[in-house]
Amino acid sequence: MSKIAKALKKAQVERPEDVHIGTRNRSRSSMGKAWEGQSYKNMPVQEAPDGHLEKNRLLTDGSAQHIRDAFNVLRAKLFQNTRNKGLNSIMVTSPRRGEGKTIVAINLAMSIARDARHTALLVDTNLRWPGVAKTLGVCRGGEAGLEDYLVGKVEPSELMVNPGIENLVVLPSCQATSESADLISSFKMQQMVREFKRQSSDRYVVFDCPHLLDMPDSLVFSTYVDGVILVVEEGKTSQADIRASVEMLGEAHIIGVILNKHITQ
Amino acid sequence: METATNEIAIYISVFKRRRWLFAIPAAAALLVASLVIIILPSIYTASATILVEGQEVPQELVQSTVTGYIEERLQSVSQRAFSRKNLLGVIERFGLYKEDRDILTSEEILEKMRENIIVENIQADVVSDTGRSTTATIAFSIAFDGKYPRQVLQTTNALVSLFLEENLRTREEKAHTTYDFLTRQLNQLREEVSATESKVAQFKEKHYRSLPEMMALNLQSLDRVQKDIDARQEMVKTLVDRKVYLEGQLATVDQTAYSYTAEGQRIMTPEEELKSLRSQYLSAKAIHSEKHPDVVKLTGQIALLEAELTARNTARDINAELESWRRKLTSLERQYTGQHPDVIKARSRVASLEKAQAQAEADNHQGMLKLDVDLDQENPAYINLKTQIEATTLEIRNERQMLVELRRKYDEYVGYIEHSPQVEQTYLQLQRDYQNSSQKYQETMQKVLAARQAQELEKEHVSEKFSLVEPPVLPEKPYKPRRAVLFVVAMVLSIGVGIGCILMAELLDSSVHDDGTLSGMIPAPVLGVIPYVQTAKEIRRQRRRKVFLVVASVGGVVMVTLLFHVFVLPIDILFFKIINKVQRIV
Repeated sequence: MSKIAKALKKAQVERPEDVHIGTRNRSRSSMGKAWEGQSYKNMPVQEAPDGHLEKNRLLTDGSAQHIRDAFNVLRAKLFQNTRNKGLNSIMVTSPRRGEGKTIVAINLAMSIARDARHTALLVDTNLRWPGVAKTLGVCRGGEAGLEDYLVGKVEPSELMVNPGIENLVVLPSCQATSESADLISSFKMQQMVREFKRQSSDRYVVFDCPHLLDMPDSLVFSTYVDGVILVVEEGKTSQADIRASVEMLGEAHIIGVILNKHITQ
Repeated sequence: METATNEIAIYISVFKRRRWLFAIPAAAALLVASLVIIILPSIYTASATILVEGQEVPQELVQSTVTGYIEERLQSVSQRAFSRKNLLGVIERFGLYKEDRDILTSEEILEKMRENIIVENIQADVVSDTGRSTTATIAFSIAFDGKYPRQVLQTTNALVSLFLEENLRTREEKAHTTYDFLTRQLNQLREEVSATESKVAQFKEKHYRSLPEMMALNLQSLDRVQKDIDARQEMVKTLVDRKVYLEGQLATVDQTAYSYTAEGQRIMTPEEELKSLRSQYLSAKAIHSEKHPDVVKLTGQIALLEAELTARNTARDINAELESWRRKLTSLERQYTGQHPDVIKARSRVASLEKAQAQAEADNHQGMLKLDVDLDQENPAYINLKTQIEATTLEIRNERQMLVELRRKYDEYVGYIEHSPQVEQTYLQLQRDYQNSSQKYQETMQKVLAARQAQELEKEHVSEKFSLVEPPVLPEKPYKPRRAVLFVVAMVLSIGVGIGCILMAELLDSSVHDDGTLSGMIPAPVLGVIPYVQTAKEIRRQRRRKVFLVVASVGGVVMVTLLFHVFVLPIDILFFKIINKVQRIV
């Protein structure tokens, strides 16, 4: 644990204090009882090297400016659409598999965390094909994940991890399960989402969900959250799929769409 | 981020997105097309120009029998010259289409050869006889296409000579046929004419006197005969009068007045003899008795003579009276009918007189002396008169016969004249037939002469003829395929293929490509457009690929240029050509 504390300290020294302290205090004050002491400050830090992030297409300081700009625009628009309405639990999904949900979700969460006014909690609810932990480089070895909480083995606070980025907390899933739909529709899950929402208003909770079509998981999950962000891959996702997805989501509030993998010349 | 606000921008973005889909098929198509263009066999052509020379002898003097449009004749000559037999001969001789013989039938090879033979007319604007300007064929060219220059040249030569020979042959044949035909016609017509001629001659012979041209003569003859008849009748009348006169004269002359016996004694008339006998009787009586034989003889003689004289006188009286009464009767009959009393009276008188005459004659026969027979008519006046009467009678008979003859003649002429119109009709018809056939004969004769001339024209080759003005030459460069043009076409086509691929992909692709479409589809806003996040590895790989591409494309350009230089046109020549063109334009 001392090693993590050291790392945290080091991070504190490196970052401009004034901005982060304010945020930290606010978030801490609004934290719920069950999640107390679960601030990123005293949670385990599992930092992945920049090379790993870069390899997994995650934004680093060395990322191309236009990509970072794109995420900043995305963040700004998200804020614009949600902040005043108090929508802070957002799920990221897409019509089909492999359209870039996970990377968009992680990058979005990271982007939100970098904004001084907000903290971000990234939850990997893609229990069938969990990808967040692997992409971020957390969840090494046989560590427990979200699925363990849902089956009642551990508390969420024990699962949370800081990936080495300030104001970002990750709740990963580590093992792929085949009963993902049952787990997602369980009361515990619903409760957990409600709890996260309740804890803090300036914290955005981003859920990385499985794809929508021919899978019940995300459809069920969409009823728990405040809004849905639909990731669409340029040149791959068909218009019919998009329409079908919108129709499937029905009542759920779609905050917006993201056109992913745009080819710039 | 780009927003395709107008169509061009959309197209550009589509093109950018699918540039490989464009480039690869286009390049592939171009490559394949270029290979095909390079592989295509070179076709050489050799062409000969043949001038159509007009007739050397002016058309006005000698007309050729070979007429019709030159184009049509060229067609028919080429059809004959390039017949199956001839072409197969040429193929055999020069070994054409050797490579096709295993695959194609001879019929197909022939078809191919015919396609490779091109006969083209060369036309010029001329002013025709009517003064209108028309286009006429003045020359034509025969060309042959093939893969091997020498073979092409030989074949073209052979084809040209085939063509020329066929033309000569056709012309001579045509001229000969015309002449033959006309000659046959002429013979036929000649027979026809002679047949009509003989028919006319026969007819003329048969109806000689009734022919229209004899009409005048016939009329004239008729007139003359008429006159002749008149004259003869007049003559007859005169003669009859004369005879009557002579007979009157005869009556006054004694028949025996001047007759002499053999002893030179004059023979006396019965009256004189009676007188002399009576004086002899008186003297005898004075000498002899009544019974003396001389006296008896004299008495007998006297009695006989007396009786005869009485009878003769009676007869003469009766005769005279009869004659007078007959005349009377004739004149009466002319005036009155048969019932008139005078006529009846005259008739009965004539009848009774005739009876008396007959009686007298009968009495006379019993007599010893016959008035006319027994008495010698030795009176010269009497004989003279008698002779004259007889001559006149003869003459009258002659004249009468002549008259009969003349009348017959007259009738004949009248017959001729009456018959004439009928004859004329038939004659004219015959004449017309004759004229027709003879005219036809004349015409045909003219034609035969012309045809003979035309034949001579053809024989001496002074009629319209084809002369080879430009013999085929060995082709040095292929004229087909025009690789440069084909290359341009291939380029355009390959661009088309690329565009087609893009269009196809766009048509099949229903995916989203820009935020514009996306925002139109979803009730929610588009939060962001995230560029493709490349990893460093990917960037490196892309860079390597770019370098490779540049190298490859430069290599490709060099390759294509080299191929062009070797197979199509040397680059330096192309360069000069372009310079030339540019200079001309400037």
